[in-house]
Amino acid sequence: MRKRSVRAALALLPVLAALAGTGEARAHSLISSGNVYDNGNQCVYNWTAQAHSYNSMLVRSLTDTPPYYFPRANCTYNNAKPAGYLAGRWESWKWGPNVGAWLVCGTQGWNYGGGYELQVGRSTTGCGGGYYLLQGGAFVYNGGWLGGWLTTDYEWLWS
Amino acid sequence: MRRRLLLLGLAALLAAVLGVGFAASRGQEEPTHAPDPNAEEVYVAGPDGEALKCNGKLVKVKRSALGGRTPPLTPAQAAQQSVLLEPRARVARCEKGAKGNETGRAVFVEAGSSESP
Repeated sequence: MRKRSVRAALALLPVLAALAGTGEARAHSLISSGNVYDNGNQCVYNWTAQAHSYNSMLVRSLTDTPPYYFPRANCTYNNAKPAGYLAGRWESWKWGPNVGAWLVCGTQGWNYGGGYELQVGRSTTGCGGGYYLLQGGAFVYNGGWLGGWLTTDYEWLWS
Repeated sequence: MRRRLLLLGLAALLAAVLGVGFAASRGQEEPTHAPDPNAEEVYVAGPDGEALKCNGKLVKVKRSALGGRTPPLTPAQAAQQSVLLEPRARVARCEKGAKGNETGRAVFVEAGSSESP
């Protein structure tokens, strides 16, 4: 009987450990994604993710029209662009309880690229323990910059 | 008896881990609102992770100093300036004058460098 109880306790350890630190338990990715621009011919897809120690976002250039013009489907097909026609940037924000406002912890300058997808990623800049969220801007050039920003939910991070 | 002590020890260890994790995340006030995308000026975090103070005063920076909400370059300009490579992450620090004293303004520097330009 005693052996069983010890074994049961040991078996529960990983589960309890996972639940132990709320910070660690929340150390998953927070993702905000979707089309931030859609005029049929040109769609801009934004995927912004805050992982425990990594900030990333991607820009995807999409269209309704496939190469052979059929079947049309909303923002489904890759729409490759020349170099410099895709741009993305992220801003990492930390809640400042002393000022009751969000502080910019760090940012990455605008990244430009071509093709149908641009990925931008960098380890977190680290502003100490606190509540963090990430904002990512995704844009595609089509006579002007088209796109928009997404914001993840916030979560507690240790750094 | 040994097993009871072992179980007691494990329970105490778990309670300690739980307590530390919970206290760290709950000790601070939770955010009450989302960042305002239309704000012209924003607070920035300093090296200690708190709101940056320069000359003892809280400072805000223009939103445009972060890089703007839309890309500043046209594709042609981007290609010309060879900025297709990933720029480094940037953080805010107090600007220092010629004599090394703080001017009261904040500037963005590449992450990892402790001194402002």
